[in-house]
Amino acid sequence: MPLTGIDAAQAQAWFPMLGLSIRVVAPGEPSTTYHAEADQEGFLVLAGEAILIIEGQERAPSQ
Amino acid sequence: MHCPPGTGHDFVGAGAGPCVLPCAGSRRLLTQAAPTSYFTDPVAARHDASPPQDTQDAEVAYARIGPSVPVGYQPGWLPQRTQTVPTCSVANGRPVTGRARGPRLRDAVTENLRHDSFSFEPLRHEHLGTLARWLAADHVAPWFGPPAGAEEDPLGERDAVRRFVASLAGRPIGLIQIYRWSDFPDNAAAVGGRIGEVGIDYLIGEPELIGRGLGPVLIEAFLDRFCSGRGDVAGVRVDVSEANERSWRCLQKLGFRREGEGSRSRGRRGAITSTFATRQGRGPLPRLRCSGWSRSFAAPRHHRACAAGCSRSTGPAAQGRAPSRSQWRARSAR
Repeated sequence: MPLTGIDAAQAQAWFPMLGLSIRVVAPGEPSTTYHAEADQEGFLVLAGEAILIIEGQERAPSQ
Repeated sequence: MHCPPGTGHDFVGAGAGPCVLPCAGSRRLLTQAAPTSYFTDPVAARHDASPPQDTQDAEVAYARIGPSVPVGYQPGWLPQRTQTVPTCSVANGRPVTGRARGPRLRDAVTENLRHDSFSFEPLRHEHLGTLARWLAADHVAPWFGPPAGAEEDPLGERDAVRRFVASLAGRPIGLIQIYRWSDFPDNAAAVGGRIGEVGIDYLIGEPELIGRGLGPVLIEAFLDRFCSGRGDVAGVRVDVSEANERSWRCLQKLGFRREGEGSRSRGRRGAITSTFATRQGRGPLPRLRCSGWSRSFAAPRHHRACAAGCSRSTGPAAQGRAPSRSQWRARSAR
């Protein structure tokens, strides 16, 4: 659920400096493709469980 | 988890259910020609999260799995939230020692409170101990007068003022009393009370339940039960102390509007500034956290008997008697 624009045009027009979204992933489903952003990001496991892949390592974030 | 710039990362759902991930990211550099980098990783590949090749082209990176699709909230994604309210330590007017019987109040105080979560029963003698404790509580005493005792019988004025004990999950939590302003003509003149308007006074006696948002829902439930849809109830007029901010916030949430103010006697506590709030009886009440609320305050097709018994014909004004000092003190104090 994109909160600050449903595409790049909306995002850059309405929220050019901040992006917010809520992702819901099923067990075994990746939230995105493995990547690195040019700027910082923050994540919160609000409900459920997830595996974090970061810099080639697996971590299990806790709520 | 904070992810610094240039850190390779991804989340993969685990466990037995959906995982909800709020994400926030700065776009400060994204707009300055610093695109996202997708690169292959063996660990990510084990979870089917690796792009087919190192790239900065999102279409290439997501060609295999496709883009995310916006969807609305679906039940079960988030657990039902329960506020942390301490267990009520009193049942039936007596302190509970050991484990409380029946459902705990904190289990009943959730965001899904409905009007039928509350029950109302007329004040009876067995409630007086609990009522005295409520009236003596620090958050009640400044607004609701002295505890009922020898000088004042809270059961002695049932013709003009109807008092009800409100219960949540079977536990008494507060008191609401209702009356017709026309039964108290002198006081009605002071507060601008009109024919057909009723007044209410209310308190939540249990200190653990203060500040939990119960008040508006409780009052709505009471008005829904005893006043909503009645053709002979034109509105609700509440006389509330100017300094009682908690009560004011409660009324404002219910759509009451401030109508006037003045200084007059309030029994033995002397003169204080009072402000009168009214809500006229046309149009639906606002929806609060009561998922079950659907009835409006409009006049019904058929007259229903007043469950609260607040008939003008039984009040002291209708019988040619002026309200006693104790009647006024008990009703006007909050």
